[in-house]
Amino acid sequence: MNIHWLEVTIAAIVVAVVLARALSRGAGWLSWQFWRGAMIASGFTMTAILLLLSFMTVEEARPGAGRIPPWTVINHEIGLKWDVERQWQVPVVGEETGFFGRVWEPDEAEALVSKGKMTIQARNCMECHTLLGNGAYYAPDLTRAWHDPWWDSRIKPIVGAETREEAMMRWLMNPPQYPQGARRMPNLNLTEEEARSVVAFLKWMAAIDTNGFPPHFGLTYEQR
Amino acid sequence: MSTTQTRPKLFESQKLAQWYFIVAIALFGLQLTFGLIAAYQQLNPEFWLEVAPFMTNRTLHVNTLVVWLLVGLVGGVYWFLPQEVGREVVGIKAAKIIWWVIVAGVLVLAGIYLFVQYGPGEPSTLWLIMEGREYLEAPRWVDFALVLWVAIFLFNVLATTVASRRVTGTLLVLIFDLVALGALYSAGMHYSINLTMDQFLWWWVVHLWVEATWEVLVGVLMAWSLMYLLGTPRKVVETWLFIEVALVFGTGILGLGHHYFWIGTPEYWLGLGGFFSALEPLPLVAMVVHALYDAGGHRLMAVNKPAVFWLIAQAFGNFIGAGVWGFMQTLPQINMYSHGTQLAAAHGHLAFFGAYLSTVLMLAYIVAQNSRARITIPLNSRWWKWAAGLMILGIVGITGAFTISGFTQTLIERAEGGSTWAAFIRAYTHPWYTSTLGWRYLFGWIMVIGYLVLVFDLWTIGKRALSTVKATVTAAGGHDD
Amino acid sequence: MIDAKAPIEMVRTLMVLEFIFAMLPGIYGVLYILGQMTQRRWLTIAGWGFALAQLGVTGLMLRTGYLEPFWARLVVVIAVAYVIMPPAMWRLAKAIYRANVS
Repeated sequence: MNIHWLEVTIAAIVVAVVLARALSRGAGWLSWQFWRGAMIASGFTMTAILLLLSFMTVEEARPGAGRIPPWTVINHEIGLKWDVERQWQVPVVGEETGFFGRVWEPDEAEALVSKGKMTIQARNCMECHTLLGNGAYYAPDLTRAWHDPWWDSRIKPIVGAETREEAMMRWLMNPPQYPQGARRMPNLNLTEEEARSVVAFLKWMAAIDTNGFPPHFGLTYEQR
Repeated sequence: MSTTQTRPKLFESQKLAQWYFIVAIALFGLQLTFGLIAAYQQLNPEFWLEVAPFMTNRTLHVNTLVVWLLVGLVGGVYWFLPQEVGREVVGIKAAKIIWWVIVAGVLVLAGIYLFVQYGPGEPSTLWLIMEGREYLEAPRWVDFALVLWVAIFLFNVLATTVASRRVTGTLLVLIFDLVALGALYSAGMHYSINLTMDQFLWWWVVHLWVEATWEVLVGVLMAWSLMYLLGTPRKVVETWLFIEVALVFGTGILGLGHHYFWIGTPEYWLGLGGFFSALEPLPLVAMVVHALYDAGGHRLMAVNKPAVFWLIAQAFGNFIGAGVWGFMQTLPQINMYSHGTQLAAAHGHLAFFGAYLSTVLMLAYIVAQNSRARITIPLNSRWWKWAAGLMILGIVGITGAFTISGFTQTLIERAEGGSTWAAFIRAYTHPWYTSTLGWRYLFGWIMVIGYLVLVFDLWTIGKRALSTVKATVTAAGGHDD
Repeated sequence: MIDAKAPIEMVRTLMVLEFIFAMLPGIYGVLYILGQMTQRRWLTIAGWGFALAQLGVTGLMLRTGYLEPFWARLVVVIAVAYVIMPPAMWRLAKAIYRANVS
């Protein structure tokens, strides 16, 4: 169902005002009866619309429904391409190339990504980093961290890894050993299993359609 | 020229409120301490990196913030409720018990944050040690304790209203608001692998708390405070309350959409959220007008000068911190670049100070005035002005520092740099950014000094006047009654 | 939404304009109300000056060309709402007090 925000907005305001007048039995806007009616009307109208839109959003936000990738996206090559119509970058899913040397079954992929999310919560990563822009601002945003050029250009050689996921996993297991600036990430004692799952989660998150956030990822002003 | 009068006997609920405010102000001090440490760590990133890294201090800073403000607001209700209905609060014993459970729980939680910090990537960690979602870092057992606390609080308000057979418009608004507030908290009590759903529901708690239900709670407390401080008639404050709730809910409920721009939710949230979010300052303009009208009408003659100051400060601070700093980054065209930068921190600091800290301090002064053996009218001192001035100077400096560093991040990391790891480092090492760190730390200290003066003032205000009056009266041979 | 080459200028310009856009109704509201309450006409006129300034800033935002038609219209609607707010609140305040204070 294609919703246009303008129609929803106008509907919300019109319904709220009509309801307010009905509840106040025609009392003018300068009376307390009108505002008591307006309070009830706006509360209920806006809540009802929010609930309706929420049901629709939940449907569209299911993994595999289009905007949110299925868990098995971790098996694929992923990238970002410029969408001319929407005027921002959108994720693209490519060939199935495997992850950590193998193809993960759907339930395995789900378990791995879940372990990654649980680890990210258990280690309180949001207290330095942002995920989809939400969190703390002491460390980089991780939305598209999977695509960061430094994994290939800097980290792979230092940690001695063959693949990007291997590089990410090894780095995460002892970040202060390979500092990349004055602010060092502390060692959070990740096990190998946890580190692998965090990388899986980061890869999955990098394939979410975020309406273009962060803008022009990976491209400096000159490169656009 | 001040007079004193005998203080009427306090209700048990009001004695409980006194404890609430003592703990609230103490937690405020803890919040400032951890904020200062976190600010210092930005200057010296190696400081305590092994024992208590930035993430630990920020967790404590943010959690003590939420707890002390909520405790202050709930304490305000416990203070005014028995006066509103003319009888003791029903279930006050249960309220007292759960209060000390919560205090103990908060102390245990602070200990866990500081000394345990995190756990393995297992469900048990999320239940016992760390849930790790911003503002909702607390493990699940804390969530249940909070739900119990809010449930008992709601029971107190509901049962007392029913028992008194006196339902005012203010009480009705309060009851509906508390039901919503409590229910919304449960929206955050879940684990979801899908980050989009996680954040979708997370914002139901965070946004619909601070930009809806908490605003209404403040509206209720303001109504009671206006009646007490300025003698504003009930019908007037209740009409204002209705107006404010209508506008806050009318703009804030769908304004929730301004958190749904970039989290993987559909595009219609960009227009919807942007539109209603841009209107969210409207009720705040209304509150500024309302505060000026009520205060001006009484020529600022009030029974409690510091409380009236913080009441006015609340109206302006709320508009500027939440309204202006929020609006500045709310349109999606800008927000795409400023989202996830320190501009959010700038807005957050000033908004919380303006909207909620001011409210709790207003209430604290009302409680302080009525906690002395004799009530001084009007309540006044030299020190509250210093405390207010220093704290306001502090928060303005902190906000200014965050605004500049956030602006730098927006331009360099996002607009210019492509949001990579390299771009992030370029931004935080840029002179515009690094120059703000020292200033922010300094203004943090100014806040702390203001806080210490505040504590001194809350402890002593109204007491010295008592001894002066007593001495004068006794010397003149009069009665001390 | 925005041309790939525009971002830095756009961010700088629009953010500053948005800040001013949000601040002006506050100043306008305060001056207008103070003017009405103290019966000092010059305060009210100064308030109107800030309201006019806000419409001016709205015009500037539209002139940058960074806002697509939908967003341009949205900004105009919001500006109008903020201009109406203080006089509306003043009328409301007077009516409330008249009805409820003997």
